[in-house]
Amino acid sequence: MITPRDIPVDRTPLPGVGLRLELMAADGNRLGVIHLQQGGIELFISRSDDPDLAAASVTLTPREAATLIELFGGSSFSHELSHLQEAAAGVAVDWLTIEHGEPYVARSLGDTRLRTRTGVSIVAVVRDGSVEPSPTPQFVFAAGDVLVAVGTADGLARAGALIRGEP
Amino acid sequence: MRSLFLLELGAVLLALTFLTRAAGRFSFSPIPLYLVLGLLIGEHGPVPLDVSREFIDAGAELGAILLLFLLGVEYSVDELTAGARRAYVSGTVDLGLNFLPGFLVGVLLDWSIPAAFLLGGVTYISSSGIAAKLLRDLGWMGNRETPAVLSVLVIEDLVMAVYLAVAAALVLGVGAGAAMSTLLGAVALVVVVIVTAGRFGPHLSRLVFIRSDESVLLGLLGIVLTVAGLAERVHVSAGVGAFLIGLAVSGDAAHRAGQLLGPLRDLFGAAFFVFFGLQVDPTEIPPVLVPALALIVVAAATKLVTGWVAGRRFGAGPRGRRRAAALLVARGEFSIIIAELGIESGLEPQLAPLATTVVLGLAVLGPILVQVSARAEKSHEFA
Repeated sequence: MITPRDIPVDRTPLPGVGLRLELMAADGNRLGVIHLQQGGIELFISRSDDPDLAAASVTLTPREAATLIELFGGSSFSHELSHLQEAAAGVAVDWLTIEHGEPYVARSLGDTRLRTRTGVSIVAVVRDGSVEPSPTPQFVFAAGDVLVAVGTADGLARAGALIRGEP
Repeated sequence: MRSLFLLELGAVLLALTFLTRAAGRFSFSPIPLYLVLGLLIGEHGPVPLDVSREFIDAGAELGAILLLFLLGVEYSVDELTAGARRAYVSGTVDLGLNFLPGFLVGVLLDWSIPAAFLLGGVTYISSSGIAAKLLRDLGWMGNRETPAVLSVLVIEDLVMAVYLAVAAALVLGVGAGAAMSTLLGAVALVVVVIVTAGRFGPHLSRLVFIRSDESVLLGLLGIVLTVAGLAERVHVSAGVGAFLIGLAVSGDAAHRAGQLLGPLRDLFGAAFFVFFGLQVDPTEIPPVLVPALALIVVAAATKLVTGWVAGRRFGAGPRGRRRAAALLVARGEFSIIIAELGIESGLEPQLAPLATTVVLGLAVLGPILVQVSARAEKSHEFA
């Protein structure tokens, strides 16, 4: 499973039940999903006064879960990509975010010369929940764009630094 | 006489229906109710029913085997080994704290060592059925302490596979040398199945799961009963054989096995608990009431400590630890399977009434404790 690198996701096997994936949101709530062995997905959100306790949990069929993922927008893309990562060993996928004030805001993909300098390809850009697949070199970045980057682990690290304007 | 058989069986099944409905309404386990029904209609009970003993006997044996088989099906070998690695400290605390009370009470009552060993098993093993049902009904699968509870239950099931084999040897009253070789045989069998299940499990699963539902159902039952019977022949308990073959079934095959055999397990499992109750003379309970009540209090307390420790090790706060503690208190199906070994062997006449009382007490007390802690949560919800 691929997730943006900066948010740690805890994976906990629940023997006889399934696999639980969860994260801590910045507002202090723990939330996540349980992939049930019996099929389906349980979604839960913890209580703010007791982060250990699931305050609400909803069991979704796979179709409902897929629909919910689409409601989140760009995330459906990560679902597709997870197969790609399994298929190609040695090739990694990463999310690179263009933050406010970074050097490539309002500049084009071609300006970065990413593929020449790091060997990394940008296969898609996620903006406000919609996906621009296979952006051309003329594609102009905006703050908040999330670049879906494919390359070697080393190349991806250098690409991240380049985007942030680090030497 | 023959014509009464259907009538009485029908009456028993209808009684069971009402009991499960009542239990379901209060999110309670029906197991204690099954036991009480057995006590009531047994030959020493107030309403002796002359239901065909052979029929219920055979059904009960199937029930015990199916309970253990489907327990094995629920877990994959990887989950078992991973669970054991993650929670071996909690698992060790669990074994030490909860086996000893039963064992010591047996020794204090001047029982033979094998009988005391069985009572230790009765107090050791929590009811994973009751705990899992409570976790689902309360929507607690997402709780932080839940993996702690499940890991402890997994380790108990692993320990039980070995325990049942040892108990079977002890109950047979074989000499120390023969008991040792049975134990080694059991451990070897467990290891062999775990290794081969990891390697050949998928093939086995494919072999069984190619044809219609009927042939899958019959094929699965056939394999389970054959392996259970073979295990019994070599003095490793039939239940252990069934549990191990369950472990070997994994993936989609496990899902289908659960769907097909689940209803059979529920039917014959009910027969098993009723049958156990039938064999107990209710008038034998009052004489053992004092040690039974003491054991209920102590065994509840030791499980509370276990759950607290396990919850803390998984990073849960005090409230999460309290929930984990309460979830482990209930004893149920597996304690009865262990006590049944004692009845079959006629080791100690007090074992059955004592074990019945302890399981009845804890199977009721456990869910009450859990509900109390759940209510406490509700009262300051969104406060």
